[in-house]
Amino acid sequence: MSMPLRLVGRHLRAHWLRTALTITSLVVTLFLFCFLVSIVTTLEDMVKQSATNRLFVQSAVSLFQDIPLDYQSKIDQVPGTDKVTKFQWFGSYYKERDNFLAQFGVDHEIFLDMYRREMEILGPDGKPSEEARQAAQAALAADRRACIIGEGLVRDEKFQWKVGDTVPIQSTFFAKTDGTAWDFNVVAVYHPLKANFDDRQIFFRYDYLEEMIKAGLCVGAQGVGVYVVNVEDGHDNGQVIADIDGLFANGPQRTMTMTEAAFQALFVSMMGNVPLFLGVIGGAVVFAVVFSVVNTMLMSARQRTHEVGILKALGYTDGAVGWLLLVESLVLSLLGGGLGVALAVGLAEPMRVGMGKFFPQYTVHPETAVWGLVISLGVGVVAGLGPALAASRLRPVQALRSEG
Amino acid sequence: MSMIAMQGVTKRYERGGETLTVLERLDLTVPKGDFVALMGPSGSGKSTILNLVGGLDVPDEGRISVAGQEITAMSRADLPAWRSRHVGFVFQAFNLVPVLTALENVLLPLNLQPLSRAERRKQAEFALQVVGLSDRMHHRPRQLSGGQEQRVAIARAIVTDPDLVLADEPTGDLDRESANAVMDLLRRLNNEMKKTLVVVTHDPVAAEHARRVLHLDKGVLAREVQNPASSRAAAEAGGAR
Amino acid sequence: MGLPLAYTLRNVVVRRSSAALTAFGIAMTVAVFAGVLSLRAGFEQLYKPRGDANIAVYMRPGAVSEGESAIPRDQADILVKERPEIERDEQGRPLAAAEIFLAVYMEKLGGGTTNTPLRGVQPTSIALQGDRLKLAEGRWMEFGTNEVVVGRPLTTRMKGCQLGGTITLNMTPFLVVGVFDHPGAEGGEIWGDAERFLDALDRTLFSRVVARVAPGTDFVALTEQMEHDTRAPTQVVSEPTYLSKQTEMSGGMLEFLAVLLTIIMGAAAVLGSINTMLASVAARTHEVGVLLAIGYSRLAIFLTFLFESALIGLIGGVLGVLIALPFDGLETGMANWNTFTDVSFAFQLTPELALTSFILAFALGLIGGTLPALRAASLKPVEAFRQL
Repeated sequence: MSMPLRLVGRHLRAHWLRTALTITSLVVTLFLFCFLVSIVTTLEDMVKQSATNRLFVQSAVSLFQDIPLDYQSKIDQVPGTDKVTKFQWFGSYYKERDNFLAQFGVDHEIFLDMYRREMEILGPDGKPSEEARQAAQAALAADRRACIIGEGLVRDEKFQWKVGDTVPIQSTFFAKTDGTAWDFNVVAVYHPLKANFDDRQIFFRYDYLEEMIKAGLCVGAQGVGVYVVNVEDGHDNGQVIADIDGLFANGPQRTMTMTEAAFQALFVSMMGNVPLFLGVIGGAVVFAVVFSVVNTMLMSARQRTHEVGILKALGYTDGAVGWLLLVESLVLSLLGGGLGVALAVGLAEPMRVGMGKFFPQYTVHPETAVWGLVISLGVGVVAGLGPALAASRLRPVQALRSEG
Repeated sequence: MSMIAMQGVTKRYERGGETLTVLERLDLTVPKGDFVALMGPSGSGKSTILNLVGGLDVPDEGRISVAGQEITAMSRADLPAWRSRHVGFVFQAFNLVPVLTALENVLLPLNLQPLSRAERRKQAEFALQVVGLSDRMHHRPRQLSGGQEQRVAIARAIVTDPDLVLADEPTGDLDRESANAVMDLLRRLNNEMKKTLVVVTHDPVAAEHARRVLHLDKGVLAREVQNPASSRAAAEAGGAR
Repeated sequence: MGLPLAYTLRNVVVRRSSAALTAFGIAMTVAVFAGVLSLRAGFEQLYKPRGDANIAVYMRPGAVSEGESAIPRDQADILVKERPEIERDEQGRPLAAAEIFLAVYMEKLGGGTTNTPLRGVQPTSIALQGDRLKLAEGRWMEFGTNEVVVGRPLTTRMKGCQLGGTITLNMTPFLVVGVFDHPGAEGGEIWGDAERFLDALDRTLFSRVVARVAPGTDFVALTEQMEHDTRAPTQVVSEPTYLSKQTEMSGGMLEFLAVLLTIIMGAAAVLGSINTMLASVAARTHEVGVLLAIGYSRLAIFLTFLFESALIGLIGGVLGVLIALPFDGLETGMANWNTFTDVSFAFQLTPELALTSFILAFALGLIGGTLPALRAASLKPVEAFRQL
């Protein structure tokens, strides 16, 4: 069955405003769809890419409850633990509360080594090297106020920090008693080796914080929110977890040890029912786009009743005439949807930078793009099928009587 | 041999809950090469006859044969292909596709035929030449006058070289001058290209161009009139050519 | 001048499937709009309107939320005993209490972990809440014992929070002896003796001090005074002020969500509306020609089509509110991003919100109908008759 496909193009061009509006709504909604799905996949990635040999030990009671300092040596003695570092959340922000930062007080002697697989240190030439790592290690040891920052903070316009800078940071949990900001000296910049390792973190010396607390120069008690444990090769995470928690089952603070993956997942779930929220938005978005294209196709089909009559009178089959409408619907959907998906993919990197605070690892997976295209196709079929079937069933005589 | 043979054809329509019988056991034959005008008051069934003969509609009772083929026995699926090959339609409202050029409109029926692009183009251009609109082939319908649009429609109707041309009030929307031009053209199709023509019209002047005029009333053939004037004119025209 | 209402109604009925589709699109938009905003309303209802203007909240300077605030015991004592603005009862005891607040991990009945707000209080805390706090079942905890009372929503959502159940904090079990109701966020909390909590959790710091103060207290001036005090640096705000800050992040997020969704779906709904009305106009061009010939003004034509669209919009609006209505009063929970705890509340479809939804639907109908109505009104009678 042959059909003049050029009719499809002509009609889309003849009603260019309607075509443009429909395509625009498709672009916007498919872009949004890809964006939302990517938020969910980004969150899942964070969990999936977690180190398999790392455990987080925290209080069984609350994220905001510290566990004693003397737990560290005890955890270190548990069979299977390689190294243990403190990992104290500082609650930082830079100048305004909106600029919150992920800052952690750590054991500087072992931290860089424990996170070898997650970060490499950049030298003065901007390239990672072992010398740079050694230098950073030495600089940390030499200066109490030293800190290591992620390259994201170097790039971000709001910060633009670099090695040698002294940066003022406010802490919500360890506010200085005199109200001034904490000053930290940037001694090195790291580059994340894993997609799920935030490139905007700050690591400083826990012992500096400890000093300040002891001296009464800041609020807060001595204690640590989280210990991070690297597990030796060949040891079963589950066993080590059980051993650690068992060690402290009788106090003074009960612990809750979990793998890094579980810890990430916990954080995600604390944000609330994110999948549900995004699902609602996604549903609304898809509904809106289907509704738009359906209406466009109905408009289009209605204006074509007369033309359908002509074509049938000339000898075009019911099927051919129906296909024409379906093709038009598909062209619209794939064009608009394809463009929306392309935009989502193309703008992924700028968006990642823009959302640095919340989703530093934002990316659009190929599967997401494919899903977007599939949905576009589906929308085209759903919207075009009804009018196509109706057109194929039109009796030529009646169709010719109607106004074009 | 007959081009059209209708036997005992009955057609009914539902309208607002009532059943109207438009044609009742109508017998009608049109010999090959004939040029027939169908006239009658509205509702007399003239357009219905056209639709039935062209396979656009199906009778409730009776048989219809066109060019030796019993179309009432054909399946609905086969009718379109048959129609594209054997019948050319001309409508009162021209019915050109507004988004296509004149040439593209004339090409429409050819897309259904197994021809190469070049062949299709040639035939379409020829048809436009016959109706005298070669210089307008790339114009859109809205850029043409009513008379020109109708001639493009006629070109489209003859482009697949059908034996039968059916025209429903072809001059209805035209002024006298354009109407005459169109009827002249139709007559040439009959005289020179030997096509059988059935034209529905309420315009007596247009009807004069035909060889025979059939008057219908309430779905029945009331009267038949030979058009000696037109036959003579045809004979003269044949001589002059 | 105008065309009768019956004319409009009949036209809507004639084109009912198209009108229904459009009304449905508008209904969905309105339902989502009303739904998200009633979620926000329910959430915010927990906070600001609950505040008692005569209750002062003392926290460490710089803290926005009590979760960030830490007040050592000695400083808390100074505040409670020495602050002049705090009112006293007949026996001369200050109407003030030091409280601790902690988001604790608890398991949900259906599985999963969530942060539940825990509040360690002193006897005066209960009195300070006044009428807001009502015991629903069981009894109040006895101070000095390991007993707790829980907010009613927790009884159906969290493990161990049922009357007679046990909650373990660190290693200490606490018995649930009562269930209370509170219209604010406190309604989803676990309350117990602050001293017993501090002991069980091995903590020493309080989160805040709450107190009754005289009406008209100047909190700003007081904060200026107290901020740099060497013994007990503190800031103080009224309870309503404190509460309004707790909804900023989540409330803002929900508002953004509502606007975003409404724009997306509204645009689609308007497209549907344009479609329906264009069909209506196209089918009635002849009719319009007749009306113009009879003598109706173009304005009348414009208005009747506009009105038809607005009517469909309104129908969609009613439908949308009806769809959203079952959510009103539906209990739900959400993460409060300021306090980092789960809060329980119910959707609130207020009359104002319903009215706003109707107006939105009406507006969508109007917007969608404008272009087609203009087209109808600019029809030339000659064109209109040609269609015959």
